[in-house]
Amino acid sequence: MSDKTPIINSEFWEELPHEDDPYCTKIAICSGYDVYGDLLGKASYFEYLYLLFKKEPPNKKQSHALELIAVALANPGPRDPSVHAAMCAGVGECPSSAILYAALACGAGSYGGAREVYLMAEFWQTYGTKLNDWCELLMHPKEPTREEVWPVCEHPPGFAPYDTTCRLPVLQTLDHLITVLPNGLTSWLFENRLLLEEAAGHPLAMTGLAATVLTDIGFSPQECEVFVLMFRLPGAAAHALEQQRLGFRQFPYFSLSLSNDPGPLGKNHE
Amino acid sequence: MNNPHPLEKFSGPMQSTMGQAFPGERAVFRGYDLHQNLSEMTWLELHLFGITGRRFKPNELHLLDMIWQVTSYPEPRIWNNRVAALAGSARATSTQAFSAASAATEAKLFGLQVQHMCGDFLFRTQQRLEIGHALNDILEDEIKLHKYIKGFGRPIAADAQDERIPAIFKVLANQGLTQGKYTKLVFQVETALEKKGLSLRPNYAIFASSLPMDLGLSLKELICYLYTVVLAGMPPIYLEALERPEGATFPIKCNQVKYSGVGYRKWEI
Repeated sequence: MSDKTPIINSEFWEELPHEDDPYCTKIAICSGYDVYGDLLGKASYFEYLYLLFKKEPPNKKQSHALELIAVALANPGPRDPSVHAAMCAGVGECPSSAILYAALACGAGSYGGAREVYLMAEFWQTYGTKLNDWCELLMHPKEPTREEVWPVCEHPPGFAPYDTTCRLPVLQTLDHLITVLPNGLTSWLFENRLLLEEAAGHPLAMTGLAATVLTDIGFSPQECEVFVLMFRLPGAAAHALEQQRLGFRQFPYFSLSLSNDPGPLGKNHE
Repeated sequence: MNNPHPLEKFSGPMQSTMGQAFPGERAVFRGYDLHQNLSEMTWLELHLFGITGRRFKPNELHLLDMIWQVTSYPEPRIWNNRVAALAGSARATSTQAFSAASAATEAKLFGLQVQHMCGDFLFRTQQRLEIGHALNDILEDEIKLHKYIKGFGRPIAADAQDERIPAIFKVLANQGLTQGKYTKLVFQVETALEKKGLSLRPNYAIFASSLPMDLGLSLKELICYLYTVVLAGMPPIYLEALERPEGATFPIKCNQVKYSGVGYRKWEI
């Protein structure tokens, strides 16, 4: 058993204690900035978010782009699996954390979720703006060398498997973003979208746009993944609380068709 | 829209063979009446029936139960368990504690991702052996491709035998069970690694994958079965944290956070 004082190492966070209480923070420092004594009231929420992860303040374009994509992702709508899951927790009157757990889990996967964003962000890290490599990858996806705990992504990550053309909200978000980020990956995506969509066999999805923008402003694939998980929570929470207020009798239960129902008398097994 | 949307055929009543609840009447579980046909099953038996659709013999269930039991450590410092402890300290609910702690068990350095990698390695290796590849070649490819062989060696106790393994093998012998192809393969790999000068003992994770796979579990089924593998250790930790005053489990002073970032500066953006 070690009696060495446990230490949490951090490259971005420091807490200076009150003189009379070593457990109570007097001054919190984030990458050199006094959070409550200086930064609060000056930095926007998105500037602070960026600072937390990147340890340097963003420029205006980066924080504006972060805010734009956060607004675009904030509510995927009640048909989205993550929001639907949150509503299930909400309508059952679970603790609020269960609403967010449900949204996180069902928004984490490779169909429209954060895993899809992670996978496309990895492509950006590997292929950058090499159009031929992108097209080759999208037309002939690489076979994984081993099975992962994640179910296999069933479509090119970042592209919408069931859509026939790029949907209006994606295009509208892209239009806004290229005005803010006119020279990077986002504008390259704007210029080459149709070629990429042709190679993928599917139109660009919001996940693909999110992966692009977040990579464009400097985030790693895992950072892209966590931002998307966080940014999608507000809509999930709002819908969940709404369904809780409306009550379970108004919440759809769907119909089920069981093909092997043994009937009211059961059946002898074995 | 000329062609019907691919999701359209799924938008009617959901087709299922897994089950349905008929409130006030009965419940169906994989084609059986849960209360009439399956009521003699233990929870573990039902859990495995739910995962695989197959029945397991009592001695097999005993082994699968033991694989869970031997790694249920009520040790609050272990990362996933610590989540349960902190939930107790923060006065969150028990369900919140165990849900979050279970999610934190899906780790790459330990826990369920390791189990998955072990199972995947054994599955791929066995497949290649069966089509005539040499084990040495397979291991060399594996190291080249994935840097290491998961399930061999244990950094936190490199020189000691994994304490969980004898208890599992005792049950295997006592229950009249024998090693199947995946468990035999674990020992073949250990020998092959030794010949390469790599003295890496098989650890708990590789056997917690090989033995259920010997009983016919697929990789996906294996991870569903292992979801609860460390759960039994969590409630004692949570409950003990509740017995302490709020915030008194793992209290940390400000000066225990060691900052190594940039110097102090003013926000002038």
